[in-house]
Formats: sequence, C-alpha cells, structure tokens
Amino acid sequence: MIALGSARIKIVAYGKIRLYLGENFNDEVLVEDGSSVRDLFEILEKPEKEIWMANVNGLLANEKRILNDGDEVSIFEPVGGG
Amino acid sequence: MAFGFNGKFLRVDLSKEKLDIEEHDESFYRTYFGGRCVIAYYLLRELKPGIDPLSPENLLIFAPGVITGAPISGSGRNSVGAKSPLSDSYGEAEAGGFFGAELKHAGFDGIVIKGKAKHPVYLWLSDGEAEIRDAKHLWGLDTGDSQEAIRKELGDNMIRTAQIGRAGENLVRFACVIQDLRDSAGRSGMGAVMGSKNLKAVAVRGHMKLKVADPNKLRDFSKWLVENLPSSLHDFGTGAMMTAHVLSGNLPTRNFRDGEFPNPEAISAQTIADTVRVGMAACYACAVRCKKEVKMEEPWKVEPIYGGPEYETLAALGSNCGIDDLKAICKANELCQRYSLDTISTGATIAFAMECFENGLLTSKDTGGMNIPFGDSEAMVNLVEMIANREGIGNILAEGVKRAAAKIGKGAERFAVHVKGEELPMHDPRLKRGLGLGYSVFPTGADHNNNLHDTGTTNLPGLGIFEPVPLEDLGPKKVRLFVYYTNWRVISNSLLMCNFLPWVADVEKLTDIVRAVTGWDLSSFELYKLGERSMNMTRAFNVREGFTPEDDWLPPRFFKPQTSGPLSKMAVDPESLQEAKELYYEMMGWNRATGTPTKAKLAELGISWVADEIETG
Repeated sequence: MIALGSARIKIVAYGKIRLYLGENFNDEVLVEDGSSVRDLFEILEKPEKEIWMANVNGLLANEKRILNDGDEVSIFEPVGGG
Repeated sequence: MAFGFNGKFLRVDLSKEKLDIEEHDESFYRTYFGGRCVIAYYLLRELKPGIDPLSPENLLIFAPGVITGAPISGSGRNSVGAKSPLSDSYGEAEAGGFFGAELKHAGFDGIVIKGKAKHPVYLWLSDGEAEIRDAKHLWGLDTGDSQEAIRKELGDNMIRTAQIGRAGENLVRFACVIQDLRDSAGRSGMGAVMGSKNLKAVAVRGHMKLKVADPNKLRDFSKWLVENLPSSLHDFGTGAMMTAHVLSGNLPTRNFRDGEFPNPEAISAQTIADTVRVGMAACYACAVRCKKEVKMEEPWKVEPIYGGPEYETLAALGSNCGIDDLKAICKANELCQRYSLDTISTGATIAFAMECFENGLLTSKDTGGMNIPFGDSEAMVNLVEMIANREGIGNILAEGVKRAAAKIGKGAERFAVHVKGEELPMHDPRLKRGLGLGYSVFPTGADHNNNLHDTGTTNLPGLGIFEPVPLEDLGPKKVRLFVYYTNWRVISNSLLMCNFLPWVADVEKLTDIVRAVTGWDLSSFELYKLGERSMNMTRAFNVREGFTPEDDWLPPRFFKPQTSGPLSKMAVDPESLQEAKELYYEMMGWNRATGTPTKAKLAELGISWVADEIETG
C-alpha cells in the first residue's frame, strides 16, 4: 500500500487506468491530510499527457478537491460520444 | 487536372421531372470544398426566406466533399442538407458508410433536388448518367425491402442507397435518411424533406475512379493509422465504458433529469460484444472499423443488416428513457433504421413523453391504454412504432418535443429538452460547459458532432492554445478554445472526413491529407478559414430566417443540477452562458448584441455576396 500520511482513501480505477495501475495495486492509499485530487493523481503517477477524471463519494470532483479520511475516489478517463 | 472532385453536380427538379448537370470550376471547390459549405451555398443562393421546409420549394442536397471517396480512412462520409422541418433553421446531417464515396465514383460531387414528384419516385445515378424512376411499388416498404427491390430491378447487388422508410413518408419531423440500411444521416429531419418530395430513394453505382494527387502519401497515412488505431473504437465501436459516463454525470438519464443509473454496463458496447454482436463493419476505405452488427431472435427478432446501436442510440433509447434492457434498445434501433428515424430525437421524444406521463400531463387515455413510465422497455419499442406510423400519441410525438409540448400544453414545455426545436444529443452541458455553448449557438440546434467535448479536449497546441482550460470554466479562455476548436472541427463536414480519425484534431496531418488528395498547395490557415466560412454562411442563413440571440439558449433544465448523482451540485450558470455567448459572437467577428455576421467579416472570408442576403451586424 502507498502510505504517505494518515488519510485513508479508497480508490476504484476504471478502464485503462485500472490496467495502468497494475494488478498488484492495492485499492487503498494513505495520503497526507489536505491532499487534493491532483496530489492523488501525482502519487499514482498519472502520465502527463493523459486526462483522468475523479468522482469523490458519488460527486464529480475537480483536481482541487481536498480529500478527507474515508473518501472513496473513482478514477476514470473521459469518454467520447458518437 | 482536377483531383478530389469531378466538377459536376446533378440538378433535379422533381416537379418538372427534369435533370441537369451543373458544372463548377476549381475555385468553387477551393472556396467551399463540399458538404456543409456547399449546402449553405445553395440554400443561401436559391431558397426564399420563410418557406415551409416540407413544401416543394425546399431544396434537398446530397453533398460529399473533396475528400469523400479518396483512398484513405475516414473518407466515406457525406452530408445531407435542407431547411430543417424540425428547427426551421439550417438543417444538415452526415453519414458514414459507402453512399458518398459511390456518388463521387459515379461522377457526381453532389445532388441538388427541388420540387415534388407527382407520385413516389427514386433517382438512379450510374457512371455519369442519371434518371428518375417510378417508386410506387417501393412506397411503404421498410428500407431493407426497398433496397433489395432496387438492387434486384437494376440488377446490381453493389448499388448503394440513401432511402426513407415509413417515418420519412409520414413526414415525421425527425425522420432521417438511411444509407445502406445502417448509416444514418440522422439529424435535422432530412428524411421528412425527402418524403415531402415523394422521393423514396437515391440509388448510386460508380466505377469511375476518383483521381487523387498523391496516392503514395495517402498510403503512408494509412500505414501510420494501422500503428495508431483508436483501439476502443476498433474493438467495440462507440458506447464503451458507460460506467465512466455515469461517474462523470454525462449519461443523460430519464430525460436529462437524474444522475443515477444503476447498471450502465448492461447497455455498454462491451456487453453488446459479449452478447448480441455478430460482427464489426467498416465504412469505405476505413481501418477503424467501428460499426457494430447485432443479431437477435428473441424476445424480438433483429436483423444484422441494420447494423447496431451507437453510443447516442444506447443513451437516447436507453438511459434517457430509464431503460437498461439492451435487447429492447437493439430492437428500437433496428426499427429506426427500417423506418428512417433519427435515434437521438426518437429517444429524446419518448423520454419527454415518459416524463409527461409520470407528471400526469399524459395519461393512458392519451396513449391508447398504454402506461409509459420511465424504464418500460416494451412501451418504448411500441412508441417507436407509433411515431413512425403517426398512430395515436405517436402523431403528436412525431412533431418533435417542441411542437408536441405546445400541443399537450399544461406546462409540458418544461420537459421539452431541445434547442431551436432539435432535441439534445446525449451529452450533458452541466458537465461540458463549452459543449453547452455549442448546443446554444450552433446553426442546426443542439449538435454534438462539431462540438467541443470539454472533458477530452482541454487545449489545442496545433492552433496555439497550450494551457489546459478547466472543465467547469466558461470564461474567455474557454470561449477562445471553443472558437478555435469548433472552427477547426467543422471543416470535417465540408471536406468530409470522419471525426473519429486521430488526424482530425492534428492540424498538420489533416492539412497534409487535403494536400495529398487535391494537389492544392494549401495551408492550415486556409483550412481554418474554411471552417469560419462554414460557420458564417450557416449563421447568415439562420439570421435571414429570423433567428435571434434569444434562440441561442439552453433548455431551463440545465440551469439546475441533476436530481441525483455526480452533478447533483453542479449546473450551468445562466449569466456565465450569456457572457460566453456574447463573447463568442464577438470573437467570431459578429455583432455582439445581435449575433449577426458583419460585412467586414464576410468580406474577409471572401463571401461578400452573403452580405446581400442579410442585414449585416
């Protein structure tokens, strides 16, 4: 498990991001208090050119959203239409 | 030597049963290219303002572009245009497949049709020749049966068709034009215009190879594409990852009202692949191969010749109606192909009816005894039939949500989700704010195809926008991105090139492709100006028809959050949208207050003649 602090964040990754994080990825990380979604993406080593989106506790969240202990974060890529 | 075009348009007067060839020189093609720009050219020059779109005076135009039919992926598209009977504005829809390429290979760069035939007819175009043929025996047939009959009587199984089914014949205002049974020129009601002219079909066969300037260069692009295929589209087509749509709040649910849809993967392209899919098909010359073919035996029979549902269809006839029954969606999709109905407007109109029903504005007395709550998949399939047949409540719904709401009354307007009369496609502007601006200002009404999808496009380095613009932004930076992006993207509809090809957003690559096809020493600047020309000409058409900035606006629903789910605390701010709209007008070189193109802007684009058609800004 990635442990950088005491705020326990549950991660649910979808699609290519799930593959990217790897089979051995634990679905919880411990981040420092006051960490944002952007910080979480950095911790997970989001490739610079990729766009990831986050849903925190059922609500769409931008990268500035501060995470709290116990939050559940779904991470997914934007999808097109057509 | 002309590359990428034949120099000939077929002119058809159905009232006089007369066919003519109109020739254009190279400067015409280098100014208008094809598709949207050519349609706007004819509509501005030849249509009287204020005509009834379903009258013989309307023009129906089939317009491929200079890229159509060239040996490169994405070149199978064509546009169909007219004044729209759904929105009364500029109307247009595009389709992939083979029809457009076949038309070019038959020696024509487009067909301009006016008048109304005395009885049902179809057009037959073959290697530079054209004739009007009797279609009395085809009227009333589903598109599949009609195509089979046409191929049989002309003795060629490779004939490509653009047709209407009963929805077009019955003048359903969102009837579409079905090409080769599975490709739909879906939006704007072009099938109703075809029906109003008693034109059942256009059948095409061509053996004349389209000359391109640099076939080797095109081959290089084809090789590059094989290494860089958009894998999700190639494997599944559109509609993969429905869960991501739900998590972001983008999946329209119960008439764009709610945000929670518990089982999105039940209607995803992956589930289709695992259950009812029997194949994947490609458009002309295309390696992306994103078209599904589905087959079912029960509880409804679905024939694979009609293809399979795209994302827009899965959402419109699925989640937007509260339905997660994949088989019902596949059947409804097949019916839309048989009858020539736009799946987006059909689903959106049924969702409107379901919300009216849940709120007591429609009862089982209005529906012939049928309950039509959200989530009722049998009711949804029945309503598709009733709309196509204009039967019972279907006769009201066949008018589209704007007119249906006016007929139902009792405040039904609040459930009518449309812009300029065109029902919204399946992306939520509460999430994608730039897309919401596009829904508001685009000439055909709510359109997703030429629009900015803020989630996936945050900058545009090829045109000098480097800094990512946040999703929720609707300020000057977003409007600038929107202007650059949509002016660039809309050129696809004049070239025509499919937006699913990775080179469409790559300014240099797309410019190179146009050079290789046409042999023109053109620049990206020239192509960008084509996009601007297209936006200005279609804007001018709507100004001439009396549209004002008040028509450039979102339905009230989007100024409130979804009732539940990811966007239950987010909505479009009307003041920000108003400011963004006026800024958009200004950045486009239009009058900020009236949204009207200025004389100077039209002159800068080399189309001063358009200024004579309108009161300029």
